[in-house]
Amino acid sequence: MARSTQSNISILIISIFFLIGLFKLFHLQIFNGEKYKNISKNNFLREATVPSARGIIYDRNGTKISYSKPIVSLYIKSNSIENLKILLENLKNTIVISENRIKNILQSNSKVSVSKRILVKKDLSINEIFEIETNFSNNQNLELMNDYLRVYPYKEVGSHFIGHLTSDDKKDKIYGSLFWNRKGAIGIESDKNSVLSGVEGSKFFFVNSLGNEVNVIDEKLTPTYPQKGQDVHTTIDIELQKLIYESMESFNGGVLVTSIETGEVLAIVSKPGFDPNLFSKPISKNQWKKLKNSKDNLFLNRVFYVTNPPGSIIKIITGLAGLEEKKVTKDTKFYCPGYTKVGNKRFRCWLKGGHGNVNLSKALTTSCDVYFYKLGLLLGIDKYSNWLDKFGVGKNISGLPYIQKKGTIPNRRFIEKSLNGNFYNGDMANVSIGQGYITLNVLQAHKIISLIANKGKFTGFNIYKNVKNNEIDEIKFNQENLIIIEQGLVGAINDRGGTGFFARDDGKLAGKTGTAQIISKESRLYGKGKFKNHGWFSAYYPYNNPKIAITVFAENGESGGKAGGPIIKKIVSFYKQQYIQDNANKF
Amino acid sequence: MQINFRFFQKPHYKILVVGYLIILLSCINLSQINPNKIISIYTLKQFFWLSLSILFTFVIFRFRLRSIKDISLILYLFSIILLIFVLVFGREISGAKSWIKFWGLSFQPTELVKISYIFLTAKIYSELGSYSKSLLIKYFIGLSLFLIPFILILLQPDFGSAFILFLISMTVVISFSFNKKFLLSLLLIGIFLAIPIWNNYLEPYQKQRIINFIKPENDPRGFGYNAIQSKISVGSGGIFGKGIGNSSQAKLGFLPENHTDFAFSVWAEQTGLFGSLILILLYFFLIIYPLTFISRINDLFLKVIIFGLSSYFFLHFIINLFMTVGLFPIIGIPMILFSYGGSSLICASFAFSIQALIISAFRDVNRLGV
Repeated sequence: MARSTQSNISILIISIFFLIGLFKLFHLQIFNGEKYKNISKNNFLREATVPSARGIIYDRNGTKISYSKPIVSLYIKSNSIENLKILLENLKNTIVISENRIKNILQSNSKVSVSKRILVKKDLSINEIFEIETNFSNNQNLELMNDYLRVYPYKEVGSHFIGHLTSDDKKDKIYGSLFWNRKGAIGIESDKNSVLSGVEGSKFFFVNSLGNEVNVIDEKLTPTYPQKGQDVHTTIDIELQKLIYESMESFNGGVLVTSIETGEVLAIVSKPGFDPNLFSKPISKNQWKKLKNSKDNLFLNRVFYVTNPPGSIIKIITGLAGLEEKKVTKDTKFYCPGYTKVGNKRFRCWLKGGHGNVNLSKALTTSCDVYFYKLGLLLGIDKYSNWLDKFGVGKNISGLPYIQKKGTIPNRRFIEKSLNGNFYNGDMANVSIGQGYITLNVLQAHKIISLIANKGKFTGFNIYKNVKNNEIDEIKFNQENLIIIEQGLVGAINDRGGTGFFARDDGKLAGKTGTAQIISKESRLYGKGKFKNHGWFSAYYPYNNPKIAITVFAENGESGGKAGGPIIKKIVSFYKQQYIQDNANKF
Repeated sequence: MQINFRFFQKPHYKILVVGYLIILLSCINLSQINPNKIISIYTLKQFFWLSLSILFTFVIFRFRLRSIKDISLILYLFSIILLIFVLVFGREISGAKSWIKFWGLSFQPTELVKISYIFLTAKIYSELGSYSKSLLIKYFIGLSLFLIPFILILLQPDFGSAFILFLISMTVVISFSFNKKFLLSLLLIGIFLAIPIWNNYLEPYQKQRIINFIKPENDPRGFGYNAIQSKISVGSGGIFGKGIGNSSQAKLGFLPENHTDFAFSVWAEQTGLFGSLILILLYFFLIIYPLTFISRINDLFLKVIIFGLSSYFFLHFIINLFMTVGLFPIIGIPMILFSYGGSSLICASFAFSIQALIISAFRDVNRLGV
């Protein structure tokens, strides 16, 4: 009997275990069946993005100034460390990999995870691709994958204008960090990022737990194909840009060249530039630090984000304002003995011996300071600052994808706010020759010369082809007064004793030089403080039918004429060669 | 027709039919687990082992039960020698030296030792004579017979097989020499030994391993990976399964060891609860049916063998089932008969053939004695 109960107990125990197993099966397959079905679906299906090429940025003549170069990168699919070691050793004989890189790969992949590729090398050479195709064609663990590297063939020449890329912090689930999906950081790359970026494709594949792809015949999932980004056509002339950049041998600064009729920008140069190619790949912290802390401040856009006193180029406005406000006529003459007294203080002219009796045109030509001290004092700050405002000094210009620094204009509000309402005649004398409480950037200086060249009309600036400007400005003034100013500007370059003789060309150039004196706070007076003179030179060509406006700002260039003159001369001769002789109807 | 009908009516044929049916289902189960192959190599091999084991069955049915008793000691010693041999000359597969090669065929002696242990224990228990009342002697014999192969298997190291052997010996020894006090004291000694070992002698990473072993969800990419993937396989089968050949888990390699340890998971994924129930019922019959004869058998040797072999099937089956559905940690224990494996298939078919033989002949033995 005892034996019989023993086997009954065994049967009972066994049955209980079977029942537990059955309950669990019910639990998994009936109650959670759908859940596990979904998990099993996602288990083997992997989605990978297919890189798309970023659009090309062209200059006005169809030259590529930024494009995406297809590159081929080598990945390893294998994820066992032993295999990895062997594979890397074999690869070392075929392609160039440094020992350090191998060490890095092995270290960073000591914990392997399912369906992840291990990057061996980016941007293989044609030779290396060929070698891999021949030597490793049967190796299932290697994968060649295409990507796109942004290339800037002109390097630092167009750097501030074109911009550069930066990481968009999105890592591909399978391939890790890729180059193609970097986004624009500054300049056109940033402004037109949504246009330039393509649409990524996606491919589906089935992977096993080792991350190896397997062919599953019955399952078909249509891949989506990548779409290339759209191209952007700019108005820049990259050859002109290059010419300017290379001409600015000895100094840093900013140069702006625009078409007067259309407002199209032909060149925006900010020197020194940086090599935007460096940012097409992830940049190391050290390298970034080095670039950022470089003495010349590579990333400072000197056209838009540096403001300085305009120096004598502001005399264009002072003169025109004097005529318009009827403080002087074209024949009004002031005597220049080399200085004038304002209150008790002597305000000197840049020419020690003085200019003698000068009218407005002559004063502009010779850049006589005394004439404009006197004219400024006649005008008074309110009327003067009103005219400065009309010309856009201290105001941002819309339509350009660059951050601008406004500068200061000595209007009532500024005087009340920053000077406690104290604005003396000495200050007035200073601002009327473009020193002291007046600062502007290259863009604003350029707007002044454009307005003069275009007879008071301003069409705005644009850097994209076939884009209508929304900023259209017009200043009303007597055209006869403009002729007087123009005479002075033509004389400044072409007359004997003109300050812009360095730029003298075929007699059709008109312009004005300037010198920005940076005065220390202790002494705002000419001749006593520490100076770091910057040169300005604004010009347009040809004066009888203005086509292009040019502004040169030369950091520490001593004077605008000396530094800017040769550059303007080169720009004009380039323009004549490229746009008048060859392509008369280019604009 | 009538002959066939009678054929199935005989109890020992029932066991043979159910046993071979399970092997047949295993062939079907394994046929499509490799991607891009019409029939997997495992099915072909399994067919080979199936035919070989049917041949064995015919041979076994020529045996007298007496001769089984006679060869028990030899079988046991032979398997111990093989275990030692495997430690010295064995081939290491996935970290364990548990295979030896004979004429191109791999053989795992651990499978044989599980059965020969049962045989020898049965033989000694039945020959104790006047000592048969002493529980201590029974425990001593049972444990000492178990300890030698147990240690040899641990040295390979094959923890799964060692664990199974331990459980088999425990069920056999406890069932045939049951004593509450003795068991309780064994349990207490075990616990008192375990606590200081845990506290003083284990490194933190070893503790973590044990914890992960018990709770695989803690470590989904490492230790728990197989457990989770197996649950996904089983669960995704649903009621009627994905169909034979549609086990994405196995085909795409998410489920490792899908032909051995996780053969049931693949079956459950392919045939769902429906197929799983069929398989479970077959096993239930194979395990329970021989046990129902125990009360009618007079001979202790045969009783121990019937009981031991049933527990051998039961433990393999239930642990593997629990493993695949997430009720038990993953230790390398195959679902015997259903998982792929030559040695285990031969040994298991040998086991149920012996059971069938005993059931067909026990009436004679009851009269004549072994």
